[in-house]
Amino acid sequence: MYILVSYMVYLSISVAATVWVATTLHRNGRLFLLDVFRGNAPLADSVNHLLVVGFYLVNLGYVALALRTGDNVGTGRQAIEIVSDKIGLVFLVLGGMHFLNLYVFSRLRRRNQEPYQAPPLSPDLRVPMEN
Amino acid sequence: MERLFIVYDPDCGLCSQIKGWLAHQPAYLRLNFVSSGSPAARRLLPSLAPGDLAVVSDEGDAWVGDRAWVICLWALRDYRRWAARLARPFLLPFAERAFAALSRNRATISRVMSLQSDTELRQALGEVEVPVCRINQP
Repeated sequence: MYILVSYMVYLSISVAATVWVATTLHRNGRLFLLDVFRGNAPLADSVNHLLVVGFYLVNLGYVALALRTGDNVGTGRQAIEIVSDKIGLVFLVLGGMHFLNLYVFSRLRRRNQEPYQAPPLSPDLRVPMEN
Repeated sequence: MERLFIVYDPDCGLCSQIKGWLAHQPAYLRLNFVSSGSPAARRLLPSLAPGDLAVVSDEGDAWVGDRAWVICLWALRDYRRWAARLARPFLLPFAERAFAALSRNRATISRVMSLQSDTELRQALGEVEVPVCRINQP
């Protein structure tokens, strides 16, 4: 009985946390990507969607794989400890994936802004140009 | 900014080779090479000493000597990131020192590595006798 409740609690918290982080990423990442692609909204939305799909797949995949436990769950205390263990790992994986996404965003942004970067050094002098 | 004028030393083998390399790199801006000491170079930057490196943009911004190297890298697609890194305050003094050392010893480096300068190339080509073309009628 305890094991069934543990699985239910673990699944509901993990899936809810994954959905929450993915929604946050989707909402806030859009602005970032719009800046990266210089206002090209369809492209920004498309890349945003693809990133979120990848995020869901990796996280839900991990949640599903980590569900099974070989430990004996006979008391309420054991149930809480096992659920806490597993949810802690899921949160760490979510955090890692989240930072990976942020890294991808910032890298994309840097690379796309490169052609528009001003010279890295201020000029030594100004000269009049003929035309 | 769409175009950069790069004033280089055509008598120096190393500079001429680097100029050739720069000209073949994919760049964000159009690069125009101007021989230092030429009338065009004097028009661009009258105060520049002959043999010195300088970069002048079509908007009139000019970078001279060691700092001009960083701007040359900044103009290239594959090296803009490097230019940004080299321009950071803690790396810039090292980059400037390295460029200054290279620049100071450019004649020796050119001699040791047998790098031909544009002036030598022009002289060599000037000595070639072009045979007169004759058409032998049957």
